[in-house]
Amino acid sequence: MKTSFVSTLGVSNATRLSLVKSQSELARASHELSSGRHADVGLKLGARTGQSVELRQELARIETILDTNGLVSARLDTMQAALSNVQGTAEDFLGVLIAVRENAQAAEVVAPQAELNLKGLVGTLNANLNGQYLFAGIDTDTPPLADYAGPPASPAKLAVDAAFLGFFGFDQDDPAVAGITQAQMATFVDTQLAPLFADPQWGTIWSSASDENLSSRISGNEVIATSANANEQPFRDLAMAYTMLVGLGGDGLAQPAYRELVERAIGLVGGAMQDVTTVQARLGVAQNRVADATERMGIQRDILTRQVTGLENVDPFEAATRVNALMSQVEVSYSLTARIRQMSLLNYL
Amino acid sequence: MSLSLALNSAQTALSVTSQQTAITARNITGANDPFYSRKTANVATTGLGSTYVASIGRAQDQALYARMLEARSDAAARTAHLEGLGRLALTVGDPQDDFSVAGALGAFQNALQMHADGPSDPILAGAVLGRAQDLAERLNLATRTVQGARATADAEMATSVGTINDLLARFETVNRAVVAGTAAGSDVTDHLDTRARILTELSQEIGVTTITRGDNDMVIYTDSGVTLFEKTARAVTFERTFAYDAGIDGAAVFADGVPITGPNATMAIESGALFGHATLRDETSGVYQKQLDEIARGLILATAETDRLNDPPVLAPLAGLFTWDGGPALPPGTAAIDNLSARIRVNPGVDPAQGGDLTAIRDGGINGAAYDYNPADAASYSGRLQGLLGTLGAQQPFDATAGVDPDTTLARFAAGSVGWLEAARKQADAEAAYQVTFLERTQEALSNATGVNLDEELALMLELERSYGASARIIAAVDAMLDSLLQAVR
Repeated sequence: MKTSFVSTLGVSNATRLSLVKSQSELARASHELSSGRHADVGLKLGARTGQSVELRQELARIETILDTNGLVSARLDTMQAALSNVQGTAEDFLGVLIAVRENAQAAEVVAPQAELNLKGLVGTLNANLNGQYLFAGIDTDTPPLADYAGPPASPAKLAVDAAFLGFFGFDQDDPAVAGITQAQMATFVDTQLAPLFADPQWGTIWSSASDENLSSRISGNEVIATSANANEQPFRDLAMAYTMLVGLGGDGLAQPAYRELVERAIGLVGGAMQDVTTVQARLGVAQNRVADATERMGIQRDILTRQVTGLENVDPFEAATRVNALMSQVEVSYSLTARIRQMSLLNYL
Repeated sequence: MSLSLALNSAQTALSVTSQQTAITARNITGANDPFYSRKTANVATTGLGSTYVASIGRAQDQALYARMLEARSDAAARTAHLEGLGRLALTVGDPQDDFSVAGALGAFQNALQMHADGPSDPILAGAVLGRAQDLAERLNLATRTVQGARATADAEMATSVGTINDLLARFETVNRAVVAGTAAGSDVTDHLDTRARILTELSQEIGVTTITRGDNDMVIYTDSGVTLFEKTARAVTFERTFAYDAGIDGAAVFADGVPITGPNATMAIESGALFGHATLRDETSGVYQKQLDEIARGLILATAETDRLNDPPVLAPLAGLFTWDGGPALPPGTAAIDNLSARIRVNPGVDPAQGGDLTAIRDGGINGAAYDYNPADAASYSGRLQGLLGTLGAQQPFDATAGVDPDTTLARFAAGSVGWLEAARKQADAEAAYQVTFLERTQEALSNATGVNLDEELALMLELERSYGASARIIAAVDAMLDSLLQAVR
């Protein structure tokens, strides 16, 4: 009775099977070593593959928001620069107005500068970045303001001229303007001119901008307003100040009437300068929030990248050790198989 | 008379030795056949000292053999299921490549985010349209892959059923020869080997249990107890289904008229390749398909357009960016809708190639002015896009029977679906690896118990050679003795 028995087929099968197993394991290990990732990520991670897919989507989303935040920052920077420009022009103009307010020949100095400033204001507010009019609110495909003097004369100029003619009964370049008193001028400005710069007339004759500012998602859950528009009060005030000194008769006016205009312009420009600062501060807050969100998401991106790497990548040292161990195992298998094959009674008969 | 007795003994010894040599030769021939079991000559002695081969024995180990059949059926079932899961996993690919539906969904959301920051840019709108088409296409493709995997499993089942019937028919012939031979007392060991081989092949396709009755007659049952063979082969029948979609259930396999697979099986089999393919076709693919359909439904709901004229809304919300063949109405109910992932598509109303308007992505209004979010047509209106990002990122109720957390966001549900599939694959892989290893070990043990060792056979040969020589020498000696006796007489 045999207590232990082994069949020839059993012996050769055992070595063959272990060889095949080691070889497929070796193929997998060397793939992992060269790619640095699991050979079959789904099979290795199982349910955590879902997590890996999710992390990757999160990562892609953060990178997209980082990209769009870059665009938002560029827009905000451009707007800040434009506003500083408006502010500087207004400040210089205020200096000139204060210097000349007692001077009889003031209009000769002020009028050309006011005209230039009005042109500049319109140009600045029509600033364009990547095909978008920055100060147009959400209506970014049309320039918010039209050139005042033209040609062709803007609806605003036509409206101002019509108001003047309607109130005084003659045009601005009529010699009769010299007869306008200070009180008449004050009444005209209050009752006829001011409404042109207030809603609803502003929106029809001056500006085509939307009151609604652009909003942007600057992080996963923060949507903030990231622009200013041409309908904000300081721009109306500046436009009104410049218009008064350009289009209401100018040097033809008697000294008291003209002085009334200069005084009012000083008030408007002073107020507008303060308001521009407020708008700049608002955009500054948005800039800060974008910068904060960008920094925060940069950190988040690093963490997520590490997590994805931790899930999907293999330890290169471990993989290298495994490849070496498997290679020597396969070699031992080869020599064993060869020696077992040679071991037969036939050789000795 | 003792000299002639000695001559007689020596003669029978020669005949026994040559028979034993023949058996050794058979054993050596079968040494490399995994189904061959070692034969031995059972030598008996008559009262007068002569020997004869009473019967031929066959090495066997019933318990080990039954365990090997079981292991083979289990391994075949797990391997078949794993193969099917591998086909389903084609819809996921490597997470690195973002080939999955979850990846396409992420890309779509990112394109929306870019567009929300530049609503006036038609290039970004075009990117949203492209990613949306990708996503719909990916869902369609995933459905085709899943249903293709079901059709493949169906074909494999048909092949399996064909093989089973074929094997049972061969089994019938061999079993008859075994029974007849056993009754007549002839050597049936080779027939027994063949029968065992057929049974082993059968266990690959379907789990079996056997009972051996008088005269070596064998009865085969499925592992669930349905008769496959008793005296005659029972018919195993199966109706192939060629085209699959989520609404089509595959036909059941019947053995001896009893359903043995599918939800209505009263005596369902539990192992064998047939079982593995049936599980994939009827269960696993169904759940995965449901997940895809739910992603499609979630997508259509999250991108729907609502009534903008009335507050509270009077008009029903209608399908927006994504629609289906039942649109513009939204998919009804809260349960998964069969084949929705194959029926979803990007609304032609936003696709310029189909006469649509790209700005409808930004403004809505695909379903008429009442659904226009941006009636003033402001170029940089981003409210609708931000709203879409919001609803896509919000929690939605999903069908609880889909196997993934039902109260979650669309992106997490899609990722959960990937996790569900890969978890199933990982588990199937571990089980298959275990069962295959177990099968290898049992096979090795069985081979060691019943197989041939060449060295032993060779040693036996030497022994037989010696014994043959000795018997011949005895005959020569007796011959010489008889010769000298006759010489003396002459």
